[in-house]
Amino acid sequence: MSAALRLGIRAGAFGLAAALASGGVARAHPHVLVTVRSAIEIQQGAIVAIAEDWTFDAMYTAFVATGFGAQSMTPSPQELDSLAKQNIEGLKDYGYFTFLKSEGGLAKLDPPRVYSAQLTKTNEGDDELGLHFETPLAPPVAAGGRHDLMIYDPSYYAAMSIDAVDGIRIVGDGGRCSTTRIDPAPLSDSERQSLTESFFSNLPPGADFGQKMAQTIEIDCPAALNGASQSDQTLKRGR
Amino acid sequence: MSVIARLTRYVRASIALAATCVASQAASPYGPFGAGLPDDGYGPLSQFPTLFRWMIEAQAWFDQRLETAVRAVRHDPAAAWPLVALSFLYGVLHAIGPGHGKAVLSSYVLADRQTLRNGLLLAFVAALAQALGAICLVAVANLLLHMTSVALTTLTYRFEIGSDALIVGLGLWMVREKVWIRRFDRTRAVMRDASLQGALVGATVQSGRFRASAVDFESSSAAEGDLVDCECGELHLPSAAQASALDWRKAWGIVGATALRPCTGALIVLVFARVEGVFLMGVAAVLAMGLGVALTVGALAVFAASMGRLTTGGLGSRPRLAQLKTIVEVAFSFAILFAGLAMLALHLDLASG
Repeated sequence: MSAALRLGIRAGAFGLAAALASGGVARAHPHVLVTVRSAIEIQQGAIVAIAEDWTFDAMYTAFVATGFGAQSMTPSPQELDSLAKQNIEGLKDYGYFTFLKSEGGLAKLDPPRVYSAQLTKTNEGDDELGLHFETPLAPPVAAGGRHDLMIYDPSYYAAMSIDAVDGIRIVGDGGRCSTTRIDPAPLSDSERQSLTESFFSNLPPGADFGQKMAQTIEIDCPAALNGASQSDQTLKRGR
Repeated sequence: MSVIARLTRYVRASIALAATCVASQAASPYGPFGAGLPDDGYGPLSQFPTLFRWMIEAQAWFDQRLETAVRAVRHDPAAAWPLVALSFLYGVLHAIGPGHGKAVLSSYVLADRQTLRNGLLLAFVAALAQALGAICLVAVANLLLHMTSVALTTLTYRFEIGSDALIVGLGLWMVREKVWIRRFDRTRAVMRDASLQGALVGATVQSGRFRASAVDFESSSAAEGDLVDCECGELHLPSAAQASALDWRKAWGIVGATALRPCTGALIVLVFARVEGVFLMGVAAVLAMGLGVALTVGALAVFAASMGRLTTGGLGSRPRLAQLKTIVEVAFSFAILFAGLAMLALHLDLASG
């Protein structure tokens, strides 16, 4: 085999390997816009669950709902239930797109016990699909301190945006917690921190593009919140 | 080592390479929701984060505008023009991102040293075939058969596997042509370059150079006008640059591979248009999208063709640069093969099992 031939083969292989390794099989074109409303549930000084309401855009809703409900082109309640189940099951491998980072690390989420899908009509008369689910944290995370919540699709097939009004609520005992919404920082080469990206998901840097586009919600709870649960227990033991 | 063993080693290596790359992708090829496949392809553009991000945001903006435009058309037929214009721009922009057969098409244009005209023609035919594919798919599956989005997605997934198989086939064919034949049969390679095989009758071969004793125009695709008369007393075969017929067998492979990968965005627009009761407007929009894609892919094909021409033209006659020509052809033929294998591996989920 001539040297030129060998060089050609090596060049082709190397070039392709570089292209693959650098960007991976990049799929960063979002086909669905999702508006997210979330609620953090705090009980006895710990974050026990995250409840979320996702609203899909009308165009994607029409796509998902097509073929269901023969005449009216609208899914029946049973079909909506199976849609919800299918979405939740599909999301399991993706961690439900919910990433809560606390001092102790990334919170582990259990599969949602409660989930449902519904169609709501917009002003223009189109349907928008809504998905509601509640994921318990396993184990619950101590509420005191600072937490970062990011809800995003790493592959960026879905462009998730946290609703400006209802984006985040604290329910339960977390009355003294405050939330701040941080928009994604402008991109620059120095910001492509492989450590940060890989921390949030198991995807290699470059494949986790959705993280760069995601908003962060910073939740700050007073440390005393943790103490509140401990003092309750001491009180109980004392009796 | 025998050639079979060597080639087997290369094929095994390429499959291993593909599998390694696939293993690094934790996400399943189906995407998070059951409906609508993610676009896939190679993303070297992600090396330019600011540009990439701008493009993503622009695409999201386009998606919202498209939705509004389709809705508007329901009320006012005159809104069709903005919809078509918007769809065209969407196609142009969308094709810059991953997918749409750009890598394979440009590699082919480079490896087979296609002319500018042929490269552009191929890009247009492929892009329009893709648009028509999307329209036919929705028309049949959705309108006629009332398939759900999930069933539609499974169908497009299977089509993509077919498309990958076509690309692997094309890659194998080109590797065989560029590597095997060149390795073993220099004469045939030279004659293939001349693209006038049928015309050469009784050629005498001498250490890689040959002289034709006669030319038979009747049983070949050549015509008298193809020969170059330099008035030097000899007949000259046209150079490779002049023998520029598009090899339609390979071209159909590329067109077919692209047509089997309808763009998810187009599918969504078509279904939405149907739900809104303006399906034909959706068809017009998707055709406009196809034209936009054709423009972008065509531009890339033109670039690839010019690069390819650089190594043939006047430079090609120098021995050093003839080596460069070989390197380019072989490299890109292998690139097509590896690309097809990598995508096939991803779709068949070989790595995660």
